[in-house]
Amino acid sequence: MKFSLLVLSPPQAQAGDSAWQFARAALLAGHEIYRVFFYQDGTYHGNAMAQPAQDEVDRVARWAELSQQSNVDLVLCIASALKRGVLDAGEASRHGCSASNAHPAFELSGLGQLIDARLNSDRLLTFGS
Amino acid sequence: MQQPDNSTLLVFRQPPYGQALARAGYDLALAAAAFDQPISLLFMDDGVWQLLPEQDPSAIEAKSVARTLDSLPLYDIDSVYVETASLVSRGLSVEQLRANVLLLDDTEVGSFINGFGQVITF
Repeated sequence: MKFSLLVLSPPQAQAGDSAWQFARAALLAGHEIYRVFFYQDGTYHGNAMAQPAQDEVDRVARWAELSQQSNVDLVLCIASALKRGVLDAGEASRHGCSASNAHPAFELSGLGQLIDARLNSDRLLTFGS
Repeated sequence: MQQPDNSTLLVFRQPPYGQALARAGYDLALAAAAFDQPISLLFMDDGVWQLLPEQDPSAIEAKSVARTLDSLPLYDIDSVYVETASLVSRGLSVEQLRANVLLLDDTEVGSFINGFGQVITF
């Protein structure tokens, strides 16, 4: 089955972990993850500058790893990400910021990517609120 | 009430202010409409507070969601549903709400939600 995931909660909430665990389990079971769309506080998952404590899971890194291993499309809602200070190099330069922090495994794009995911997946699952 | 398979129901369950989730739902509704995707909205639980017409959140420096709701018909989003029980338990009546909402009672709401190809909750 082809799944897409909508993640609304930040990495500090359980819902983000549930989404990652679901994605990994689905891939291991032979399913496809078409896209993971991070919306609202979910876009904090793309902040490569987040430094978790040493005894905590690096949520950003493990999403990136999953994306590389299984070719999962990770998309940050661009409006949500910009508001929260998660910028790739292009957006950073456009807004006159001296640094960018979006992890390269994540793409900044519009809500159309969520509509597209909904149309091209058998199921769209929401994690968090 | 079976809807076409590409139909999406957005369920609003949170109050209009205090967090940004309601607005996130409206943004998605407008984006879906821009892509010509059929969209219906269901307001239940604290989401029903969004439907009160006279909202002036300027004192809390928030944008009015009522204004966004008023603009929905311009995007051909005419299907706005409300769960009756959520109104009753909050002491609200349909006469107090903005115009053009359709009521669903307890026995209908489950099969109504089930009739959509996709359900996303905000």
